[in-house]
Amino acid sequence: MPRGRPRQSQNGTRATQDDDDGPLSQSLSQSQSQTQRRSQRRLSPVEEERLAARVVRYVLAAHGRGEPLRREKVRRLALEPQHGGYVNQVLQAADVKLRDVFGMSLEVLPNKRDLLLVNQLPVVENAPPLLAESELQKHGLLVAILALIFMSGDAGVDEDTLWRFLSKLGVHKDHKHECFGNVRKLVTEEFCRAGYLRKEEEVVKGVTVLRFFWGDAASVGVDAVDLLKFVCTIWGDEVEPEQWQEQYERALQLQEAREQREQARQQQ
Amino acid sequence: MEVDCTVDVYGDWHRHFMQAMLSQPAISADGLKKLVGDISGNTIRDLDQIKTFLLTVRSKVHSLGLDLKKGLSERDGRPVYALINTSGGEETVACAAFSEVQLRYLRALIQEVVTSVRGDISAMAALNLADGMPKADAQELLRRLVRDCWLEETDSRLALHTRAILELEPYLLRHYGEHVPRCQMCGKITVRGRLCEQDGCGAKNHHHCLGKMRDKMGVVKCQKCNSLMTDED
Ligand SMILES: [Zn+2]
Ligand SMILES: [Zn+2]
Repeated sequence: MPRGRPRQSQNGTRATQDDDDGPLSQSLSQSQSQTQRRSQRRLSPVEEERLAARVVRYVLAAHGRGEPLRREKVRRLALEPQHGGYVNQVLQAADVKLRDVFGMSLEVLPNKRDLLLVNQLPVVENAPPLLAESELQKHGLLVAILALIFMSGDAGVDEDTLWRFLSKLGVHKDHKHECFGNVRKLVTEEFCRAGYLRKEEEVVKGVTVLRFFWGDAASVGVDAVDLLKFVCTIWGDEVEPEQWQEQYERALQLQEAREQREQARQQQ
Repeated sequence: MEVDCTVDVYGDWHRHFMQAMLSQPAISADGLKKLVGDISGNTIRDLDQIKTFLLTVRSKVHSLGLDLKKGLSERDGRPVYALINTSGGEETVACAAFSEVQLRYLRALIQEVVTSVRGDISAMAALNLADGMPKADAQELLRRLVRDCWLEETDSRLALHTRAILELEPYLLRHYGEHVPRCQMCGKITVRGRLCEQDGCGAKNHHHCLGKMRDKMGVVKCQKCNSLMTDED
């Protein structure tokens, strides 16, 4: 799923140069001189290129297996210990490479902890499926869930509503689905771990139930306007996104936020 | 699709293609042809154009330590294309983000397969190699390794997938050189192949390469020691 479906290009967030969470920066008295020294010293272009390529290879490998991309893990696995302080320089260089070669950007999620690959290529009519059949179906399931949550507004969706909705689509939480396997695990664990969904526990009449919201990865990686179009195709031709006034406005706001981030990135 | 895309200038066609290659560990020659056709709105159809397209892709991805390579399947001799990491086996194995225990298991699997006589091991033997992890986890990991084209399964036997051989070649040569001699006919390393029975010869050739020789010459002869080889059953 993390493999981005092609869609309208958007934006990217960028970690700032001195946002380093290494042990040194925790001590304020030391951090100033450290930061100064670090920002003056940059990796040589050759070193930057070599390490960026390493990060790209790692990111692609992890992405291909549908694993969440953690900034810390990139630092640990793809960079040598002595380069820990340059993680942002290297991530930026990797982002440039990824855009150039794959048409994908490397986004830092608002929590600063997770990274996400986002497709930047324009949607192509009749493009070949870029996902394996099972991934494609998983993506469809995720989109359906995100759409349901989106249409429900800020309150999210409780577990019961979610499963009732999915059962109408022929997906049942306790059945072993031929493509999704254990559906409950996929939705409540895998999608949440990948950051597409966020779950919260709440107690209703003494029973703990889950409530689902859009995760950070969905906010950055899924285009809400596209999603509304998807909902419209399900509901039929006669409906236009504008008819869901409230949702449509929220979708446009999300899109605008993206565009602003992209502009900020380009001005850097 | 953009009108200004061309075969030999890296652009959105190539980027779409690379994205597609990310979502499949390996692709057949027909699959590749269809993919390139679909992406270019059937602009790229003939073989020369496809070759140019692939060359453009390859020269672009080299700087990332990646390559798009073609190999022949040791199972049936059919061509397989895969996007591989050329930075040299060790990193590949480590980069796959396995845990320490899983990594040890993967290395043990590779060793067992490569050093076996036929170049494959039974699924049961593979499970028994798991050390320090529950059987169910090992089973799950094996499924993943097959899905990601590290291994391929035929009749409950596991062998190295063509993709894995392409990517792990440096690693295999470094650690198991004598078990993966180069095939006398195609020059590529041989994991699954036929050993020459002649004492002290040690040549190993791909089944499909020997098959081609039989088709052409009517007999199968070891290219190293010149002894005739009987038909395989
Ligand atoms: Zn051969
Ligand atoms: Zn011989």
